[in-house]
This record gives sequence, C-alpha cells and structure tokens, in this order.
Amino acid sequence: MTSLDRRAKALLLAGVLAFLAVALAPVAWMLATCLMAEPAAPFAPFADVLTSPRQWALFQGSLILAAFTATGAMAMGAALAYVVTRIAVPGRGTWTALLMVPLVVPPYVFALAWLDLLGRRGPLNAALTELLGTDAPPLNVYSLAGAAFVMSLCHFPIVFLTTRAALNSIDARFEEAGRLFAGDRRTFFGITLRQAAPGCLAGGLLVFVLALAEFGVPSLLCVPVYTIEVFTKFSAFYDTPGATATAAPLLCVSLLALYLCNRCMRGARRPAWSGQARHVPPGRGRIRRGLGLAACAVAVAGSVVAPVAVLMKRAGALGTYVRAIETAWDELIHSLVTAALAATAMALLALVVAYAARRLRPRAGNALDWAALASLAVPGTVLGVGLIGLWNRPGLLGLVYETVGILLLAYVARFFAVAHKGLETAIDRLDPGLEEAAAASGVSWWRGFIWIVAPLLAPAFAAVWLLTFILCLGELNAAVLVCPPGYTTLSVRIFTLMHYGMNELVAALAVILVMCTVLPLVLLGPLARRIATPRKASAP
Amino acid sequence: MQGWISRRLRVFAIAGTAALVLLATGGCSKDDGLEVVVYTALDQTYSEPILDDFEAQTGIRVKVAYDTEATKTTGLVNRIIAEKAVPRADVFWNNEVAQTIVLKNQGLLQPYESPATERIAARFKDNDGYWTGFAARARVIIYNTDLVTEPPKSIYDFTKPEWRGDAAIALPLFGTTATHAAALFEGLGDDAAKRLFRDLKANDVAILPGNATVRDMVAQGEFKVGLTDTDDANGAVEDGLPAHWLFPDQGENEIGTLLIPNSVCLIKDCPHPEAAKRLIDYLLSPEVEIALAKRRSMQIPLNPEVTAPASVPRIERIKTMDVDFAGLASRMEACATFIREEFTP
Repeated sequence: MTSLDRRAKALLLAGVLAFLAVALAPVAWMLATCLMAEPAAPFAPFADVLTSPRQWALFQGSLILAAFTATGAMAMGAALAYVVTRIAVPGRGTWTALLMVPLVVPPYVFALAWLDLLGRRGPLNAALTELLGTDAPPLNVYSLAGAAFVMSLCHFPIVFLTTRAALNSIDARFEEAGRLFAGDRRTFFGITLRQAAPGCLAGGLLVFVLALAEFGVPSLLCVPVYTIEVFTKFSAFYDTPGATATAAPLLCVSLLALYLCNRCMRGARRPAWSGQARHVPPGRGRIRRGLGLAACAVAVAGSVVAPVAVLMKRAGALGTYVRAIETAWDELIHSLVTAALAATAMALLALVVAYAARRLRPRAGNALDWAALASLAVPGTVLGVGLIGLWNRPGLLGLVYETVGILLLAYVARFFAVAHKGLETAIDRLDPGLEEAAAASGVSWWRGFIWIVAPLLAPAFAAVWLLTFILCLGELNAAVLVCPPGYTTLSVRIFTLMHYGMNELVAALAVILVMCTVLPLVLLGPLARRIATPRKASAP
Repeated sequence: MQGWISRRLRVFAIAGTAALVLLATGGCSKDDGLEVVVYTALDQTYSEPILDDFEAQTGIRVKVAYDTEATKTTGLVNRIIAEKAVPRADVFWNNEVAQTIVLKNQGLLQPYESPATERIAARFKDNDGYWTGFAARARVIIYNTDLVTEPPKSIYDFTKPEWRGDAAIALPLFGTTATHAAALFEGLGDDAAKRLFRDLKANDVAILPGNATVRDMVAQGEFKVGLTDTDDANGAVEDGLPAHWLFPDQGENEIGTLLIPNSVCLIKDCPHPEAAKRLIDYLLSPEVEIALAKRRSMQIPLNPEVTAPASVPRIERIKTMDVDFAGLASRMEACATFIREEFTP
C-alpha cells in the first residue's frame, strides 16, 4: 500500500462521501420509502413484482433484448477499436470522431430514422421485395431482432470508447515481446485481447444496463419490454413505491451482470503501465489496412451516414436549421453548459473515488462499484422522484433544489457508474510501484498524483468525460422531474417538438448535435491525441 | 508547498461562500405578486407564446416547467405529487383532465373559481371549483390518403377484417388514449368496452408508443389508418402529408367522439397564490382560446362566445361522448389494469 499523507486521505474520503451523498442517496431513499410505505408489511409493494407469467414474459424479453444489444455492441465496438488502434488506416482520428455520432443522436430519433429505411414501405424492403420477388417485405424491423439491431447501432460507441482506451494503454513492449516469441495470433489472443477485455466488458456491461432500462426504442418497434411495468405504475397508478419495487428486478439483473463481469476479469487485473509505456505502432500490412478501412467504412455507412442522411433529408432546406437553432437556442446552451459541468464534476469525482477505493481499500472499491451501478440501472424517473424526496425541503437543501444545481446532481447521480467504471479499469492497470517510487524519492503525494498518475489516466479521463457529457445531453426522464422552472433542457425540447409533429426541426436539431460533437473531435483530434499520449513520467 | 495549498484553500473557501450566497439569493423568493411558477403539460410550442403574452401584459415573471408526452411518465403530475412536502408550482396547466382529477383526489389542489369559468359548460369544470376546462382536443381517425379511399367511420371499423394489420392506435395506458379507453369503459360499460378492446387486439391493431407516432406512421404509409388527436392529425395535414382525418362515430345511434379539454388548477399551499389566480384568469380568457384555436394545434374553444377561425370545427357541430370526467377518472385504474393485462404481453 502506498503511503498517503493525511491530507490526501482526507481528500479521498471526502470524495467517497460526496459520492454517497450525491449518487447513492436518491436510490437508497427510494428503496427506503418503498419499504416504509406500509410499515406493518414492508414488502407489500413487492407483492405483485414478477408474479404473473405476463411479467415474466416481459422480463425475459427485456433480458434477451439487452443481451443481444450488448453482444452486438461489443462485437462491433471492440472490432472497430482494434482497427483504429492497431491498423494504420488513413484518417484514424476522423473515423474515431465519426464513430461517436450514434451516441449523440437520441436513441428514439435514431430509431425513427432507421424506421424510414427499414420500415415496411422503406427503400430497403422495397428493393429486396423487387429483388427476391416476394410479396411480403422480407425485413421486419418490428421485431426483437430489429430492436436489438437498432439499439446495438445506437450504443456500440460506448464499447468502442472503453475498448479503445484499454488498447491504447497497453504497453508496446508486451506485444513486441509476444510477437517475437509466440507469433501474431497468440499475441493477439494472449496479450492484446486479454488486456483489452476489461475495457470491452466494462463497455458491454454499461450497454446491457442501459438497454435493460430503455423504453422508447423497443416500444416504437413494438417489442414489449419490462420497463413498461415501471412506467405504468407511475403514470396509470401514481404508485411511486410500487414503481420502485417494480424496478428492483432490473437492479438485481444489472448487479448480477456486474458480478459476472468482475468474475471474468479476476485474472486480468494486473498492472500494465510502467513509466516508459508507449503506444503500440499500428500495423501497416496492405491487406490489414484494406480490411480495416473496409470495416470502418461499413460501420460508418451503416451507423452514421445512413441515419444522418435520413435526418438531413427530413430536415430539408438550410432554413430549417436556422429555425431549429432559433427555436431551441436557450435549451441548446442550457444543455451544453449543464452537461459539460456535470461531466467535469463526474469525471473528477470518479477519479478521486476510484483512486481512493483502489489504493486504500480495494474491497470497499468493489462495494462502491456496485453502489454506483444502482443509479444507472433504475429508470430515470425513479431517480428523479428520489432526488425530489431528498432535496425538496425547507432550508439549505431546498435552496439547492430551486437551482440548476439539482439538475447537475441528477446527471451526476445517473451516470456516475459510467465515469467510475471507465476510470476504475484504467487505475487497475496503473502500476502502484510508480507512485511508491515517487514517494520513496521524497516527492509529495500531491505532486506525484498530478505529474505521474494524472497524465497516465488522461486518455481514460477524456473518454469518460466525452461519454458522460453525451449521455447527460440526452437524459430525459430525470430531467423532466427536477429541471428548475424556467430552465428547459434540449432533450425535453426535442421530445416536445417531436410530439408537435415538427419532425423536420427535430431532424435538424439532431444533425446540429451531430455537428457539435463531430467537428470539435475532428478539429481538435490531433491536439487531444498529443495530450492523451501517455508521456514518459518523470517527477519535475 | 504548505503556503501554496493554504492559499488555494482560501480561494476555494471564498469561491464556495460566494457560490452559496449566490444560490441563496437566487433561490429566495417571496410572494410579492411578481412571479408565478407554472407546470404545463401542453407542448411548449403552444404554451410558451401564451405565457410570454401574460408576462408582457402583467409584468409578472412566469417560470415554466414543461413536460412532454413522450416521457410516458406523466412527469409533472408525479413531480407535483413528489413535491407535496414543499409545493413549488402555483399553477398546473394540464393538456387533459383525468390527471388533474388525480391531483384533486390526492388533496393537492385548492379550489379557485375564476370569474372566467362562468362561460364554460358545467360538464367541462369541477363541481367544487378545483379545476376548469378550456380549449379542447378531440379523438379522431387519421388515414393515409394515398392508400385509403374509403376511410373507416367508426372505431368499431378497426375490428373489421378489411383493416386487419393496417390500423394503429397508441398504447391505451398513457396520454389521451388512456383517457379515451376510460371514457369507453364509462360510456359503454365494462363488458362492452372490454369486448371492443379484445376485438381490436384480435384484429392485429398495432400498438404504438404515442399519438404522434400513430400520426407519423400513418402519414408515412406504414399503417393505413389510426386513432389519434385533432392536434396531431391537423399537424400532418398542415404539413401537406398524405393524410386526412375525421371525427369517428358521428352517426345517429353512434357514441360520438371524446372531447378532451385542457384543464387548469391552483396548487394547494402554493408559494405565489395571488399571481397564480391572475394567470388562471388569463388562461381562461377568450383571447387564449382563440390563440390556441388559430395555431397548428387547432384546439376547439369551449366558451360559446369565442369565435374561432372557420377551419376549426365548432363544438355544437360535433357529436361528442357525454362523459362525466370525475366518473371517467374513477375508471382509470380499473381500465389500466385491464389494458395492462391484455396489451402488454
């Protein structure tokens, strides 16, 4: 164990307490309210959870959908991450930026765009019907497979980002040594894949949890899912304890998935970064480059070009974009600012919490990991009501509740697990020997942290920031509940416009969001890469 | 090193205090009649200009929280329930009635009979003055004009073999479709209503997430006909999409269609009651009903003295279901229980 000075310990402890107060408290509050609803029979709200065959069928449907979605996203995300980190395809930065696009478009809008393409009278079915000479449209997007396909395409960038961060952090010397002694194939399976697996699985787990809690896309594609039971409790019966109890199975399955992930990873948690870590140079073979380029092109065509083209067609003339910006300017600014603030706070807090847990109490770290997932696994509505219960009271808490602060708290609570998971896997791979060496040379913990640990964690930090920023931008269910009056977020605005039938404005806003994300990534990509490259660590 | 850290700590302490003071001054509000907080479930696109006008006319600052039908959580109703301990909203402007009655039954409203309610028919307002209806939408059949020449005239037609697999409705657990289902239970009686819904299911009626989706899918040709609201359907027509709509069940012995008014109510123990009452008076004025009728939402005025544009159907020309909204609201739970069992497999 590294010797931390007292102030460092105090900081880390404060971080953990902040996490408990912000991220865990709302869900804990909801569970407590649920159990206290009828003190005589604390489990009464659970009485009709998973009791009928109908609910089991719904639950099974959700599990299968989430599993397929996560598998699809992992296959796609990991393969593409491998391509952009290990093969010298031209324009790797641009491909990387483009592959972020599906995350930025709200899943529901994304699914609507796919319906245009894959619908019963969409162009793909029309072409296939003609080609095959069949009567009925051969592709049925209104199916479990259709929903899993669309949701995998929405969510694969999460796996792509986490795997890419893991691949980038592998010390080149491991792979070089492997290639020298064991050949390409064994190096790939024994070293590259093994070292990247925690990142890939962490991403897959997040996708699984998000897919399990998703309601909009499956319901649009007529796939019945379990979340409808939770929403029904809320909106048809106004039964908050019941809704919380109904969400419990989602929570349990998410925690089970986390447990399985951790078990799979048991052997893989080993330090991989040393002071002289450097990037693996990408492969330059002509066939590999050709294949890599083809993979990027297919993925971008399918997950970016096709849906964005549909959105642009819907948006139509340039004037629509101007109108869209005029209509939603305030909301766009609100959302960008709050999402950026929340992402920064979340990434910093997660850095402190994950580091504290790993360095001070690894076992406690596991408990935090479980706790963080709870807020992600329950529907946003449950979290929102929990936040109201906790913060809407007379006095100081109520003052926070009246401000934008409550929205930040909601975002941090909801997506803390994403930040925590991303940074935790990165910290696991950090050799404690580095910090020990620094401490032994008389460098204070603070300086060691700032000059040694922080630069090595920069790529993971950047990935986590981007991911949580984008997720906050799209958050809807909790935002509707806690947004202070007079302060609307973009997600709420987009859905109102959609209901209003202003589909061209919705499409234009989605395209604007895409541009807001892609352009900075493409333009700032080279700069970010320079910052993100693990440097030779040396205490100044 | 020491000095550096303590200097930084000082900066943090000052910044933190400043932030707290800002929060405190920004958060403090007392009822000086100059501010009102309204939660509205009517789409921002329609409600915002009206609230802006109120602000301009009275100088009372309006703070709004918007909802969207897409959340499926009836977010603001649940928010008002959750905020019971310290109410934050003054006025709830709902785009329908059943949920407002839920709030009344939970004891979260206080009565306020605005002078403007006199002109509204008794069936569109609460007997005890807890809420008042205005500017209504109606349930309509929408059809794709490219694919359909003889549209269905009744919701019962959706159970006929000729529309098998080609008709769509929104899931009757949420939004106005839920209200419509409860109205059918109230109007037809449980057995007849259950039979109708089972027949719809047997005829492969597609269940979509919301009325707006029904409109979009019918306009796109994914489905030939659907059941939606006047505001949704009119939007498609105004956009020049191949869609048209009609009021169902207008024949002599038929049940008529359901009118769903907006409703406005005063929250119990709200922070700014005086400004709230002025806002309610304003929302019930003829001016607002005209504005809502003129816009794309084409809401039908309930005040007989209001003259809307010719394109807006007049209330006396529509055959409407004669439902008691309090009775309808009391049916919601039983109806939702049935629908949940039948329609979420």
